[in-house]
Amino acid sequence: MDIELFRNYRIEDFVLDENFRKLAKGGEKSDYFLKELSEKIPEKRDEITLAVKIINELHTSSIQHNHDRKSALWNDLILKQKHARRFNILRYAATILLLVGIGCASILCIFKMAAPEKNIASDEVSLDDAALVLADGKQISINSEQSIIQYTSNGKNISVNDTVFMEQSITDDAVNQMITPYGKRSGILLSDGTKVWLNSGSRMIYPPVFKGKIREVYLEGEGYFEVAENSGKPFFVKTSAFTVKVIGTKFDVLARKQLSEFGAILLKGKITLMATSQSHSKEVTLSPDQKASFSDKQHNFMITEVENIENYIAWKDGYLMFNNEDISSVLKRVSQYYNISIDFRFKNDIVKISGKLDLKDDHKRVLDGLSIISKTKYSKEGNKYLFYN
Amino acid sequence: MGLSQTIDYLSLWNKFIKDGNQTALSIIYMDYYDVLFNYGSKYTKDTQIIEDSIQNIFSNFLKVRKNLGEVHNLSGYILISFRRQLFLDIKNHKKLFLPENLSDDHFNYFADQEQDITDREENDRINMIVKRCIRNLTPKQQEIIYLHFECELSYEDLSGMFDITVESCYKTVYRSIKLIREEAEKILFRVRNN
Repeated sequence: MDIELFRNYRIEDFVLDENFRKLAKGGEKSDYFLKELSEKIPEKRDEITLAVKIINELHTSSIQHNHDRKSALWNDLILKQKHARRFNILRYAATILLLVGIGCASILCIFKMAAPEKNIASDEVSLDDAALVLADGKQISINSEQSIIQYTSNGKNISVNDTVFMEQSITDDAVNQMITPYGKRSGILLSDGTKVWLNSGSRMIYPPVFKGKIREVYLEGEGYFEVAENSGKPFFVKTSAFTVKVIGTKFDVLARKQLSEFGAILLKGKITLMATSQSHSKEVTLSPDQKASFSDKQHNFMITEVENIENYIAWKDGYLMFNNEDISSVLKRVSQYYNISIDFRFKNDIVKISGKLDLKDDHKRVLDGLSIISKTKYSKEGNKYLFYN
Repeated sequence: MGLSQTIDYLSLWNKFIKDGNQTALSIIYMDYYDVLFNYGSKYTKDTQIIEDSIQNIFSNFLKVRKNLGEVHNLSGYILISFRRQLFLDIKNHKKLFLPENLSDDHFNYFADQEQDITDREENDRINMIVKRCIRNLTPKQQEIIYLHFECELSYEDLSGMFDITVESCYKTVYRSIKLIREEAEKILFRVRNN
């Protein structure tokens, strides 16, 4: 380094000198060098001090992603690259679909404005259409089998199924609500980047934008969460029976009061479940591939290890997965999803079913398909379906 | 900065270009990620778009590797590619969303920092001065300064990127720093006299 050159430097010359900047930014090591430099050219001591201050102030970048996250993103990239060819075709197909969709929006999704619903905490999910309730109580019905709701980071702008865009004004205590009726699903991108899939017969109440120190949503039914990382603002999922504290990141929460089914399954990261009851303060922490079931009678959590965990959340992608299961348990899952009652009288329950069941169809076609592959018959009696062989 | 002083990124890049070595590119990806992310956050608060743009340029590098030409300054090349991609992604995003969203898509040096000009110690007066002087610049001037100081882009890189002469790049940087120095001296002088 040319000390002689530095003798003629003004403050701006120090700041503009790349080598000097490297010295100034170099952390502990640089303190030593700078001290030495000040001693060698004492007449420039004040200039050097001020130049270093200015350099430090010009340095603003603070966001550092952790190594694991970047690794995951890179793997994602490579994986997508491998499927690039297939992806491209899909993308074209999607574009064409979107174009068609815009052309005949009336077929794909019909929006009707309903009267404002004041009492958003009513206990029943009785609508046939999925519904999004905005902060001012305005309710938007969505008549598609799966709805995608996306919020911008300010929580004000919302897109529905990528075709309809709307805006809402937000007060400090504003909440939105998403309701998915039986036989339908929805995906919601919250303002903080968290993704939530709501299963059939579920609702979630959430603020359009997370103000304050925590992020909190309220869930009834079943939801699959992929929580966006923000260690400064912990995420909580509240249900009537327990609260999930999210340490990270992918998990399914089950809170079906009518069926007394409460619990959670963790795919990735860590979550803690805390019972809501005042008299007991029970809590459990889950590791990946574990399931917690909560008994609302005994106020107890039971943890079990889970195999084929993706089967539990296949509903979010529009199908149910079965792995060598009895026809009776398959029918039970189908009856839950579509909220229909199915009875069965099998002389011998030998048929086992494996594979995917597409949920895009209406329940009659699903039942037809099941009866064919399981070689059973069914009939409808009143509101009930009866399967027999 | 996420860049290491000891790693020769350019030779890693050439390894990737010539042999298709993905590990080499992955090191570049990991180290440039924060640089690009921070740069992008001066344009938009929408971190999803920034993330997407980073993914898009690297996935494009992988896709068109064989057609990529020789690069002399990797930082310049990657930052310029990213900037172009980010503009494109913001534009596409705007088509999908209401135009009000992302109206703040011009460069803002302190976009990712909270405005906290309250009672400050003498030490932090420099902070105020720097902020005030930089904020008074046009978005383009702010960006030039940022890329030069934070990302170590040369005046030549910047000249190519913004389609202005090397000299006016230098002048932009020089004048701003001189202004900051003058303002700083004024205040420090006043403090000393008190």
